[in-house]
Amino acid sequence: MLKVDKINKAFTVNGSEKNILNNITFTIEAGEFVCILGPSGSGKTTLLRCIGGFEALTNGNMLLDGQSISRPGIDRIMVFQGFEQLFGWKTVEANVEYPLKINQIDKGNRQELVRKYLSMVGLENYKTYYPHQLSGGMKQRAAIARALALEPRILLMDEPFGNLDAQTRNSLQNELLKIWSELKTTILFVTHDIEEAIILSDRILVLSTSGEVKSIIPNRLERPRKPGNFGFAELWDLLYSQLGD
Amino acid sequence: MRMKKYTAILLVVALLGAFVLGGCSANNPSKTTNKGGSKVTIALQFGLAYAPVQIMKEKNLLEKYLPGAEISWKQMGTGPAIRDAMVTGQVDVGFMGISPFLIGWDKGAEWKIATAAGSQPLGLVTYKENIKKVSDFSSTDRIATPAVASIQQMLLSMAAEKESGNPRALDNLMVSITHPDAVTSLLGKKDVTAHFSSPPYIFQELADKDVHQILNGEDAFGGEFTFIFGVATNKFHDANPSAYAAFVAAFNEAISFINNNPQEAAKILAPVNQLSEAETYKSLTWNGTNYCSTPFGIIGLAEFMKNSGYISKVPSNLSEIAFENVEAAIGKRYGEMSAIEKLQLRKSDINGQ
Amino acid sequence: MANKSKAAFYQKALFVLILMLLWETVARMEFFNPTVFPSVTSIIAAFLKGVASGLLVEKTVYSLYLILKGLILSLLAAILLSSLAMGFRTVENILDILNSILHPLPGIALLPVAILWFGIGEGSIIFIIIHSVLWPMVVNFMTGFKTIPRIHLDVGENIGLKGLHLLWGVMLPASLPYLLSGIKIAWARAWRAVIAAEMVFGAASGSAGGLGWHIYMTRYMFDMAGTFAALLAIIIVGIGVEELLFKNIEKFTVVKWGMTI
Repeated sequence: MLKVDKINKAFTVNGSEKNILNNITFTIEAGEFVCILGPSGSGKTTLLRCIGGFEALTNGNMLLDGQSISRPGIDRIMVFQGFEQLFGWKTVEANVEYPLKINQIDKGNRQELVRKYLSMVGLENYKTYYPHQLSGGMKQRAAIARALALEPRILLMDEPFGNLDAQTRNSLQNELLKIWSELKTTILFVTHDIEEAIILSDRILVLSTSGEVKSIIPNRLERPRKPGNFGFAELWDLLYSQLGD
Repeated sequence: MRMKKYTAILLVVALLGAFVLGGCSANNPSKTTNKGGSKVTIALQFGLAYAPVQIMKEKNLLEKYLPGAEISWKQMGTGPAIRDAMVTGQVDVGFMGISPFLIGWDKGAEWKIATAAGSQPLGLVTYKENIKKVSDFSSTDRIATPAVASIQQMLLSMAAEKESGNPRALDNLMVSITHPDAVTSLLGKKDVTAHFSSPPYIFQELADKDVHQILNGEDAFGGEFTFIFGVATNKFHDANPSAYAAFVAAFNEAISFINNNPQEAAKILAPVNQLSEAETYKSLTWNGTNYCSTPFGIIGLAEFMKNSGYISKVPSNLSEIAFENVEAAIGKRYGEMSAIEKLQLRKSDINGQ
Repeated sequence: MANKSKAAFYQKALFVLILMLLWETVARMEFFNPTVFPSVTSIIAAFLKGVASGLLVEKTVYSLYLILKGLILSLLAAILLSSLAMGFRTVENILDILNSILHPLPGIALLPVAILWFGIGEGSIIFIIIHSVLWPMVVNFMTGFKTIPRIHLDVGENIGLKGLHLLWGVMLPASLPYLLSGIKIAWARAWRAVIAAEMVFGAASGSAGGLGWHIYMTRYMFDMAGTFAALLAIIIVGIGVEELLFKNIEKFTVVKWGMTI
């Protein structure tokens, strides 16, 4: 469904050109949960932003369902890192409804979608709250609901649980998996956390520090996955060694 | 909580106390100005109407009549500003037009006219060819005068009354603009169609081929009238008679000097007024300029001001608004008005003329 | 929470009362000439007379009308210029240099220029108001726009907003705290500008003239109680606008949204 072909992305830093992404090629199938794993500075956020259309490619091209993609669009909705992605001047409910409104979805359908996705993330009792009244975890759940409500072709997630404490992170990971198995959405998830990658993904794309695809590793462990399970530790070691260079 | 409230009150009282004590000296005559002829403060405004005061200052005439005195000069922007300074005891003698003086007198300010600085030629000029007299103005015209209740506004009302019987006919046409801004507007030929002007501004305006004068002040008033008066506080006059007398004498000498030595006076006055010597001389000798310490037209102006609602009463007697030397100059004939007294009235008031 | 603000209110009221009493005492004892230091009672009397006759109200309304006109024009101009500056580097640079040149100029200093260009009608006064108000507004708006988290704009673009829709849907609400702060500053400056301009410039003939003109006239007529009454009117309007208008706008927007600066 998503085809990324030999893409390069260079930034000009202090007058000289630095290649953040180097010749990256991969494909994603519909319904897959793919994690992009890499150390800091490996360009994983940049890769996601390129796919989202927020950065322009220097070279190469990308195709979604056979169509070339370059600008942001509602077929690829991003859930960002950080707690400021909700609009502070709208309630949780309004935040989820707003993208639907401006994309001309009629009132009846809108309200149904809002209700469905808010209850999916467990926030139906908080729909009249303002973002500043929510905890970090709740904010991210609201952001996920907003992203899902548009029912995009692919959900792009940029370390959405990175700023949360371990407990909240765990519960959100489980929630996300539940939603994914129910909706069968395609998810591209960026993380630097090996454990998170193993728990969530069908496949793991490892990026090297020089911005190249180091390896693409399938993850066939049985779900639900817990660190003690069979095969977990081996996979962990493998990924750890991949990140080493 | 209690402590805070008490400290706050204490602070306020202390502050106000300081304020009051500071202000005390301002109102205490012995501290500021004129005890024993030691200090005199004179306030004047800008322009050749104040020429005698300027001469007095430049030639140190007051020091001649009051040796050892400390004379301090204040240049101020408006009559009301001088009035405020005089009422609070900071200035002993101030030069201003009839309006600020009479309005102050009406409201109880304790001051009187000590001398006159003279008459000035005031001319109503316009660039519109078809306007030859005041009744030619239409509702879209605008006439610039220096201030509300200024002598120029009153003269316009008098002219309107003369021509149409209604003194308020031009009320909506009058705009208050300072002389320099009025000149620019008039010569720009935009909104301002006429300006009640005086030298040196009027020279600039008449130099433009379209601009012509349609009225002068004397015709509007019906006689000569004093433009600027020298006003002294009662405190100054009563507490320091020798300084007061010295002032009157010095001022008269200044006026005499201008009238008898206009060329020399022009030389002294040119830099003070930021004009060339030639322009200064021209203004000093322009028809209608009359430096004279005897006032003209006071009662006529007072009556007009009362009828216009600027003041509540007319002085019944010259001594109410002027000191004894002014009365002496005007002269009083037993049983009837002196010739100069008659000149205090507007032509229309005398014998119903 | 309610007790704290109640106590604060009483403290402030008490202070004002004490101040008024002290003023009245000083006035009555005639430390200063009563014509230039009117008592509180005479000021309030003049104020009530002015309100009853409608004169004070008329003048205040006229000044407010001029301010409103100037503020609305400035607001639109500020939003336009700031938005353009966000999109085009050249505009931002031009705006920056214009601000450096013009902002330090007090509005009154431009009065002669204003008369030359806009004549002697209310146009000159509106010009002075706009000049006094535009630059602080633009600076605040620009700051507001610049401090919008990048993430907000990304989300906006992601869900399909562009250009004017992005401006209306995301940029303006996101920068509302700064917009409001800019408007509050603008209001205070506009007040100052209009009073000062009217005092120097006088009223355009035929029009009612505003509070500044009223102060000029009462001063000329040696009616100090009237001057102070006009000042009282200015204070009342200032407090009124702050407490009734701005505080409430903030309550229903930035305070409710947890977006105070």
